[in-house]
Amino acid sequence: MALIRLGVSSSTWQEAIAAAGELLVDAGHVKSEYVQAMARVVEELGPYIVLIDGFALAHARPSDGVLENSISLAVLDRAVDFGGGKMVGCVFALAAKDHESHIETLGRLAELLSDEQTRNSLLNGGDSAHIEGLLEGVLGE
Amino acid sequence: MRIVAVCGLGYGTSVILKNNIEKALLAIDYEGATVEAVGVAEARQIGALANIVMTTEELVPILGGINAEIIPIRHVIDIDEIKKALTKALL
Repeated sequence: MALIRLGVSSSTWQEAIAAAGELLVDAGHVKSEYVQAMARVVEELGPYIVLIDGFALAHARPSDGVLENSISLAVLDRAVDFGGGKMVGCVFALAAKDHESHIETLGRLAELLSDEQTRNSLLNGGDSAHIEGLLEGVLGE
Repeated sequence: MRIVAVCGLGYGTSVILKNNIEKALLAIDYEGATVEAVGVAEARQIGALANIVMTTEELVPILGGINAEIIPIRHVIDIDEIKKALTKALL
């Protein structure tokens, strides 16, 4: 089942990452400390996780508490600044158990986000069934 | 030709960047390049052995001093941007 929350209200990037991260925690795919680890990555290295305008891929290390390969999506009701004016309206949280297992998933995610129309429909967050279908496609389900 | 894609940890952004570098190389008909994805911790060591290091703009200052051509990428999803950068560097 796709882990998605639409209409998330957050005023900071930390809250936005936490919203996506909690979906992974609630599903039992990561330990709760993984959520803080994802935020630490941005604190230490900046908003490089912003893949393209509007979209961030939050993640930490497998050793930071990953229990299962997974990906979740929080669609924010209003974009927040991830640093340096990089505005993000959709936060994906990635949990990868090792270096190899998630490569296909990320390839499909990149493919998905390379399409402007798809990006717009994700950012608008309107049709949850449609968005769920997109994320399931990314997961290969 | 050895190309290294660098992100913070070597698991997320750099894997997407590596995928898209491979796609861009195909698109510009450049053969014989290897592409790896690594995190900043390994980048210094592995980057020194590479010809080209591609990374996101934010990480460029951290990678200063690596003896390879460092190419900043604004959007790792944007294959056109990567294609242009590689065309300039390789062709």
